[in-house]
Amino acid sequence: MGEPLLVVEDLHIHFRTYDGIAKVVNGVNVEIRRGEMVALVGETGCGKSVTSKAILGLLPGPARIVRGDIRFRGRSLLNLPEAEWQQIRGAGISMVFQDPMTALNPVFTIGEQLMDVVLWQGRPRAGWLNYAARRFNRREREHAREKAIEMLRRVRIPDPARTIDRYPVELSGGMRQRVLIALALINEPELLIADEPGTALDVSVQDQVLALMKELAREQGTAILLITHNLGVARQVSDRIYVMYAGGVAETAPTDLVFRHQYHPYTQGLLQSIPKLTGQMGEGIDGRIPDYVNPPRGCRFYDRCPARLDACREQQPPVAVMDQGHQVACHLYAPAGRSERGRIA
Amino acid sequence: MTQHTPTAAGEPGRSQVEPLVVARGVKKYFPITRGLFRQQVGVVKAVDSVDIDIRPGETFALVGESGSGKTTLGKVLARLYEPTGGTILFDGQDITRLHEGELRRLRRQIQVVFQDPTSSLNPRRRVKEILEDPLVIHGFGDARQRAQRVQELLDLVELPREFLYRYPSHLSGGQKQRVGIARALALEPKFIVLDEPTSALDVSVQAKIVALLKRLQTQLGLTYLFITHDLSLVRNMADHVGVMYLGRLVEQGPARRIFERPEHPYTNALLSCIPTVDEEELALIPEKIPLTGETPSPARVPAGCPFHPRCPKVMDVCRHIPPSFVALDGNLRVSCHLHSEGDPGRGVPAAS
Amino acid sequence: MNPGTAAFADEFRRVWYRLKRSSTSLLGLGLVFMVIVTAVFAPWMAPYPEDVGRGVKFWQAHQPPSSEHPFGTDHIGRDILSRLMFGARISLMLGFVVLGIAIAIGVPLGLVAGLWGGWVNTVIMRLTDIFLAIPPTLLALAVASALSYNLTNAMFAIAFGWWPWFTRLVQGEVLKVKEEVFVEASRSLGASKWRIAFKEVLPNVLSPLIVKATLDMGFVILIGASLSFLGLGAQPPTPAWGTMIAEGRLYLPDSWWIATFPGLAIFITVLGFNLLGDGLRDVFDVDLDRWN
Repeated sequence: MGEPLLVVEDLHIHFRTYDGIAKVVNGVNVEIRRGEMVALVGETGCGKSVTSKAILGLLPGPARIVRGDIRFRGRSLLNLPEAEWQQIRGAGISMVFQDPMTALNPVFTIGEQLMDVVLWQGRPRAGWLNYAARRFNRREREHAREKAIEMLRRVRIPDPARTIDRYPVELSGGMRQRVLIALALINEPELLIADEPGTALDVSVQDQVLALMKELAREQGTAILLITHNLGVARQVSDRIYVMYAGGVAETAPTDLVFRHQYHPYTQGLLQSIPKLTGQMGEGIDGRIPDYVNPPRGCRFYDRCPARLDACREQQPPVAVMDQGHQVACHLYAPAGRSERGRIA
Repeated sequence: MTQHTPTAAGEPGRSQVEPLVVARGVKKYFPITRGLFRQQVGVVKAVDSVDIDIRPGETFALVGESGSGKTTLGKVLARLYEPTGGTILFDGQDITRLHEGELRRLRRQIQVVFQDPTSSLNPRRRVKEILEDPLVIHGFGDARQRAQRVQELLDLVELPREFLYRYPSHLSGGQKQRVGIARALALEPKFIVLDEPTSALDVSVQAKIVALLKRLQTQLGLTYLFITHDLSLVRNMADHVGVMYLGRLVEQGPARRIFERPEHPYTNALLSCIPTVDEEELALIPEKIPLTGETPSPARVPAGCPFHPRCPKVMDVCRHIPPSFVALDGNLRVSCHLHSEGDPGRGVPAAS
Repeated sequence: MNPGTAAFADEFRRVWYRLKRSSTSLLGLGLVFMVIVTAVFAPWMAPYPEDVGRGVKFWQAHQPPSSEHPFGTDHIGRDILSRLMFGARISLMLGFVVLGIAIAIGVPLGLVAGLWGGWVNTVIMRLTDIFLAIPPTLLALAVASALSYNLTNAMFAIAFGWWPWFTRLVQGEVLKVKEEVFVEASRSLGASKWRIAFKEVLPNVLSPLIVKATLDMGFVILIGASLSFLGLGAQPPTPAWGTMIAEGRLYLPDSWWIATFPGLAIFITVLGFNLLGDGLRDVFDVDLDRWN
């Protein structure tokens, strides 16, 4: 097996703030193979959204990638010119946003937005003149329209031939989320980044939408990078899970393994905190995420960790490789696994 | 890890205890107005004919999706809204219609904790001022006694005293919600409406807040109305559950009974799509029932049973006649035609 | 340092951090600072403090700028720099008094209109609409000319037309803040409308109010100078900048410095307040709070 579809290697991202330099992402390693469903799970401020934005080249102004690399199909995405980015976004990597209410442009119909994506991204290196020519070519337009209707049918929007001419406000939240998925998948991208999809929706609707997204991605061989705070959702969608804490990956493993056994004290605490239908619910994790401007020298979970060792205070945790691709960045397992310092992949 | 067991007020003896809150036929309608002269063109029935009894010391959970009217009902019971119809008794006293002075006195007894602690705390005021507010409003003691009480409140919600002079923006989400809880406790109320108090928080923080709320309930003998959309949380928090759909209560009963054998197809469907994290949990989930469509707007409630357009077990009668409540075993009450079969008298509303 | 001061210092540090990142707002701050220092220390800083009044020194009239008189002397031999320094006091006082009156009237009216709503809102807001329909300079001119001509009446005349700007600003902000959950929370504690107005709403209206007041300062000083120029404000020999320009304009062809330097003083002061106001607007912009 060659190079994975997407490789995030030792990524460090710093933010300029008025308190100083915030070291928000601190050595993240992620790999996604073709067609794989990967979930980045973590709580507020763990750096999962920033990582996903970096992959799409959409970091906000004060953020800088200070170390590491992001490679897509073997090519580095750092310092790409805007023109090349435009080709990658949409056709190579596309994104489903969290809030279906604001991610659609209210002044265009669903069809116009879908057709725009088809016409703009359907062909490599479509310059704007080329785009304009296609935009006003009747045959191209009809073709795009058919493709848009077909896509709406695939995301199971009722009566797609009529719905295509509706405006986003005329649709319910769940329908809009489906349209967003249609927009993201219409050009058959190789990677779909889904940032908290359906979080704004009711559970019953979210459930349908996630199942649909997974099914369609499987059909067309699109890999998914799911960004979520909800372990239950990650379990439903993903093949592999990266648990992030305070800008680093704490633990990664195939999904079913993570739920069978957790090694990292943070993952354990997180899973116990989730209220369960069995009527069991842990007491949560004490404390809060550390200050990113002056982060702890050693493990960033040190202050909150119930199992901390002396070594944890001073040294960054090594990565221990456990059974079946289960990897943990924690001093507790340093002697047990074959440790490879500072890398998790 | 702790296993949630219902408190004393929970099951068998429940009916013998005098309820703290009694709501009968409570309605809250909002007019829809249009045009220059604000003519009324319709009405949103946010809450429609709800009966609820909440016993002292228990946690009554109101569960529902967006548009179910659960928050509106919570605010009506806390008397932040005046009900359009029905009656509410609190501690034996009728609080349906009150004038300003009476309402202000009632505030000492009933308090609210809001959903998003970031927006429910004034960003321009310090923790000390926020916590002093209820004390000043209700003329509690002198400055020294108030300062003392504010410190007690911080201790009660396990916040360090140096937080007194901080602004909310310097606190984490969980710490802000602790301030929100402390503010609600300041006047020593009997009844607290918790409006999705943890839905804006991370799970590891949610667990801490839930543990705090449970401790405070036993320590101070509080009665909670817990509003949420999270059924797994309800299982861990509530003694009694009411499920709402489109402004109506469709099923209510003891938490354990509802989670073991839900009777209403809507409750069943809600339970079936909870994301789970272990096998044990998965085993408790009913077989997946796909719900079609989404909750319609409360301005256009379907005729008959409001759930019928989405119900997988819809019958002809559901389209025309709204079901009334049927009492089942285990103190469960459900409003569904499936359970009134064989006794037509029960399926027809008594007065219509 | 007690914790209260520490929190305040922190807040100040935050404002300063944002402000210092923009060079134009720093320039504005510098100019405003310079004008204020000049005004406060005029009696000690001015080279010829006795020239403020009617002191006539014909033997040194119409002297061009020199090392002895950096800005030259006027038609009766007074040092222009010294008079400008004392003039700064008049301009600033005018600005502060006018805005003080305008805020004292405008802000409570805006709060009441926004919070009470209904007919109270209608009456107050229609009244402000009427005021705002008249150009402020024209209104000040009309009022000032109806009264006897002196500085006090000029200040009153400007303030008369200025409060509605604050009423409208505050009413708009109140309508926004009113919908916040913390206002509902305060109501659920039993707070009265007045308490909500002053404790919950007003602190959140403060930032836009400070920005508006800073920007207005330049504008008000400009109108004050215009009134003085037209002879409706401070009367000679008061060294008001507008009066000085009026006096100097007769000699513009030969002694350009007499009118030019007061003009520059006005320009610099107004520019300073405008740049500072713009800078503060960015500092208080909550949307930038996320990353900066």
